[in-house]
Amino acid sequence: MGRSAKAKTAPRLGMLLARKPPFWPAFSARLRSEAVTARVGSVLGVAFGLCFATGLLSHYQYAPWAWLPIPAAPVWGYRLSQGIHVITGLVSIPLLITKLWSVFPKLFQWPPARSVVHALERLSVAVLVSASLVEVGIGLLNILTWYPWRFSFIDVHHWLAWVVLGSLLLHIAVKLPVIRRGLADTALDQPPASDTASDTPTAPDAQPAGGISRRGVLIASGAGAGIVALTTAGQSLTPLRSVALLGVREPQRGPLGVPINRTAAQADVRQLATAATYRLQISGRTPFDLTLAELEAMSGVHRSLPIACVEGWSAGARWIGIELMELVTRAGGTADSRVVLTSLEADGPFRRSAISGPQLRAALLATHLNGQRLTLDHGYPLRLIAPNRAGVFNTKWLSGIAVGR
Amino acid sequence: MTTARWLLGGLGIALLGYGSWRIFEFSAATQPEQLGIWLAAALVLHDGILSWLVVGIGWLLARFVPGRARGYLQGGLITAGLVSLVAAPLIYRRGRSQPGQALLERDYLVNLLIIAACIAAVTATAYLVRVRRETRVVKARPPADQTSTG
Repeated sequence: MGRSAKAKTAPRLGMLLARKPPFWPAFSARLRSEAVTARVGSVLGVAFGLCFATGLLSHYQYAPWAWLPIPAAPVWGYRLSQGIHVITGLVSIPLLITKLWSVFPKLFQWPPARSVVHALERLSVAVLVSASLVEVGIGLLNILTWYPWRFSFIDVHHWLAWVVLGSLLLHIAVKLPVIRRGLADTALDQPPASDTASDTPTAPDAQPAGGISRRGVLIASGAGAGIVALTTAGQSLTPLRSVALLGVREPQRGPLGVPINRTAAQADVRQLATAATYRLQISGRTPFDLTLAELEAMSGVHRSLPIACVEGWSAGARWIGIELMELVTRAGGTADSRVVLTSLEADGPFRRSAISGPQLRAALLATHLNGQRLTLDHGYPLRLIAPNRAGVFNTKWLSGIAVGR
Repeated sequence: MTTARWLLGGLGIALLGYGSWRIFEFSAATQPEQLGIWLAAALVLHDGILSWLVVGIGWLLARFVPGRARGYLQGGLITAGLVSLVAAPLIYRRGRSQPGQALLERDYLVNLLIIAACIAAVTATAYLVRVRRETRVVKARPPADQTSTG
């Protein structure tokens, strides 16, 4: 574009931006106020923070660093952290919707951008809004095991969380004075029921006298978030089972009191798991293998360990089995070995899992669950169970144990 | 802007960049084109539909429900609406699980209606308590104050 053309368009653009177009929506921003936004936003910020931190803890289960193995105590660690992750994520949904409602008029501020920096700042808010909506939305669908997309949930949910956190920190930095002002604003009885003077009659949400106050909005949305927490938390918090009206899982209703995510049929291991030729092969400095009868004869160690899933549900369970360390030692390994367990499954993202450090020392190769022989779907003939370990890494239908250095 | 705010903002930009970079780096897993559609759809659904639905309901309430009762009705609707948003996919997906998963086996529509009934009961009680209290106050005061119901 030539210089002269640029000079001509610039003032025209300025004139265009100076006046709001007549069709542009206007809001009476009395209920939707900084006082409401700052309060809901603060609570939402804490929920997002907890959700992010517990999400990272869960993600660490997928690829722990060699020098920092996952602890084995408390045994209910993952049960707690992933329970918190899912509950705070669910509670974020009503909080996020309320927060966005309270700032909706800002979407139509005029002029749309005052400067390049302001335009970038608004763009980062758009990123924050859409990434947050997608993040909590796909999280909700994931606990229903509903995946109406092609992308990998684990990857998107993890990396999008960094996008949400980053744009959230930027947003807090930009808005800090507004947040302070909003929190200091205690006029929560606004708008007063009898005052209509400052309402714009043309505003789409202009309201005549009366109606809900800011305090009312805070109470109502807080109640919404509270009800969501109360009626969904039963899948992680046993005492809340009786009020889990919106409970997604009912762990106690699974076979032998533990739900099954992947059946033997889905994993295509029914034949292999029941074959007379079944052997558990242990590789290491002194490799050996064990028949089903030998394994069953060795089994006898009792442990009470919860099984906790990445989807937030968990169930306490009693197991009987063989201490993994017994086989590791026999194969020439030590408590410091890195052990890889393989399933009979031919493929599948979780057919293999690694265990080391405190979890290895406490791990059990289970033959019995809650007093009964493992069913095929629970991992017959042999499965791993270790404390403070995400459910998917408690490999079922074990076929091989590789004892590394 | 104080130093702390600059640092916080800088950290935010760094993490935002890190997450975005990883999304594009692992594009085989994250499918950025499809993810982009989801991100855009979220904005359209929220800012283009849901928010205007709320504006519309608010307008209708303001038009047809008198002041004092409206506040309570709005409160009840906010609470019930927020819970419904979480319950909706549960209702839709109910029963679509394999046996043994112990998943989505409740009647979430009935349960949502139970929750809504509880919200309605609490809201109605709060409203009646306020009406009674204000009726008493009005009776106790001289007539000049009767107009104020704030």
